[in-house]
Amino acid sequence: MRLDAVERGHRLPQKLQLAVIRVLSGRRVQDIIRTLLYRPDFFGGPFSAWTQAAMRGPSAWSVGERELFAAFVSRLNRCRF
Amino acid sequence: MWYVLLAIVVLAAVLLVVRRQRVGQAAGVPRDELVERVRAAVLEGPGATPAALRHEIDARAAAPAAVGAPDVPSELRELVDKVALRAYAVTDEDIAELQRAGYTDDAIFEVIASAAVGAGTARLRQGLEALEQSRGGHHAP
Repeated sequence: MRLDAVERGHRLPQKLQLAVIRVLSGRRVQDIIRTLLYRPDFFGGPFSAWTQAAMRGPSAWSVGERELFAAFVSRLNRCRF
Repeated sequence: MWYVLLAIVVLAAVLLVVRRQRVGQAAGVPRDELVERVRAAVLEGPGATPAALRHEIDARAAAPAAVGAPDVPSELRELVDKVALRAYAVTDEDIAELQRAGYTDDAIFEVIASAAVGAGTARLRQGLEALEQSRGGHHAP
């Protein structure tokens, strides 16, 4: 089930971003991207800033190690990574 | 046709740069603060549902299996617990039920985001505490 609003209720700037991603990738934009671009002030914006800092910011762990942790957690959550 | 495509690509490139800069501004901000920003946006930002309801959902999702877990309106209980404990089990019917109960897509989006944020930040805190203890109370570099 996909909420209609998250499927096609984006505001214009996000609609354009989605259109470009679709043209460049040649396929349907992933749900995670659609979700992050839906009402970005409410969730996607601050969440992306945090994710960026945690996954790519300064850390004792390498980017590869962090991606591995994320993949492992997704696996435990039975969520596709 | 090509002009339209070109215009879209240029516009999108500009938007991506703007976005990147915004993300870049977060560089140097402590991660605790970034987490608090997510929580503030989802739990207190303008929305279709009252902030008080989102806080209730957050509190329940942080301890859904606990005895005497904070309660939420009965029609939301199952979805909140599923999102918190086994999000893969959420079905079309769970969503359709809330739609029938009068919840708009925006309201459902907010309920799910609040539950995810509640469960997610609770686990994050547990993880950081475990890490702290294993280091004998020393802070991470």
